[in-house]
Amino acid sequence: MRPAIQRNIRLIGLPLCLFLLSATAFAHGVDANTERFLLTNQGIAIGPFLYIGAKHMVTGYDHLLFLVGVIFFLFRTRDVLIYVSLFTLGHSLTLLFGVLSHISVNPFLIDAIIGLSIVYKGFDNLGGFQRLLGFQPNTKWAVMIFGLFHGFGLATKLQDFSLPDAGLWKNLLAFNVGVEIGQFLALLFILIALDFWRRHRSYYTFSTATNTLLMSGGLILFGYQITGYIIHG
Amino acid sequence: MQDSNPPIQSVKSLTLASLCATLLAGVVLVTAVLPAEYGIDPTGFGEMTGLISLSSSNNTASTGTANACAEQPVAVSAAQAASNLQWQDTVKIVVPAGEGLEYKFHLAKGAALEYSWSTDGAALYFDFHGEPQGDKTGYFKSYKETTDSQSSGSLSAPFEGSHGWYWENKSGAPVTVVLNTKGAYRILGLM
Repeated sequence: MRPAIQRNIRLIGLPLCLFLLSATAFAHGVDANTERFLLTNQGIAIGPFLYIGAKHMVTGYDHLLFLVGVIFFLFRTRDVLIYVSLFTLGHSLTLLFGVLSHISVNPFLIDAIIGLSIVYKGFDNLGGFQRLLGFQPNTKWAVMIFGLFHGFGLATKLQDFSLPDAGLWKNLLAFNVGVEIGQFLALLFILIALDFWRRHRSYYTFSTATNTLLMSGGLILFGYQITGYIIHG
Repeated sequence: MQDSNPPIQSVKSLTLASLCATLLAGVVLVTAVLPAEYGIDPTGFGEMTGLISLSSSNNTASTGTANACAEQPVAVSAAQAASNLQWQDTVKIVVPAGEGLEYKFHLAKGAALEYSWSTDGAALYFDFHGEPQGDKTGYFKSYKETTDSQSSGSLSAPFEGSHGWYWENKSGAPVTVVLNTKGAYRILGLM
């Protein structure tokens, strides 16, 4: 099963890779443009919101680190699909709910929690909870619940740009679909990289080190955001 | 229920992993992230490496993506833009230490440009000037040339072409210029 999928992934992966490279070359210019667009946009703009959503995910290292943690020990495509769907369900729920009901959580706090979700997953991948608690906390629920927090993060960021109420839900839906497209693209690259690495013994030799690094990355994000909360929050 | 089967580490290696992770995170935070993002620099490492200059010139800390490009003009946030409603455009330009740069607008003959800019306090040498469109001789006309930390006024373009400022930062630290403009122009931006 896996070799066939790998071949497919590589077939679609290469053109996408080139596409993304060219996209990042313009990333600096686009950023200011994106902000200007959001501040002045009135009404429905499906294309731009799709793009902003996708871009947010592809360049959102916090979401990506969490996904790396989630799929690190998932070897079957079916499992990857299930877990990523749960994550998607979680963050879509809170993204839509958050924006439509104007719930805005402090962005520093929500990003700090997102940082902690990475620490959680890294520790979980080390078997930490099984060792310390004697049982494994349900991994599916964990992914889903942390997905809810990630969604609040997305909702908060989107609300920073006071969106017009006219056609709000259509723009929002476009943003959400964009997030899923971005996640799919990013996941493709993560899976390609992990699949290559998994063929080598070093994957298993370094799995402890990798997940320790993952925890460290999560802690850095946590410290960064909490400091921001203390200073600006 | 268990789809992934991570090897369960011993308490010893769990403790070691957690300690390493925390230590590494702490070092990176204190030496790099906090100086660059917030200007908090307990070790002095941020000062030494110049990371600290990122924090004073850039307030969009929450996104994390915009911070790497201190030399790019950054669109100003919604709150700041709202407080300057009388202006059409507001741009933040970082002039790196010891360097000069130009920011230009295209104006038709007779078109008006109202402007007001200021730095975060430091004075810059500047030359407010215009170049006629299509001119290849390098001719330019200076409207105002001095050293100051702010300047404002209005220009009625004497000819069609690019008009704007050359700023030169002779100090050892980057200086941020916030430029507000209004008028019948097309932004050409950084040159």
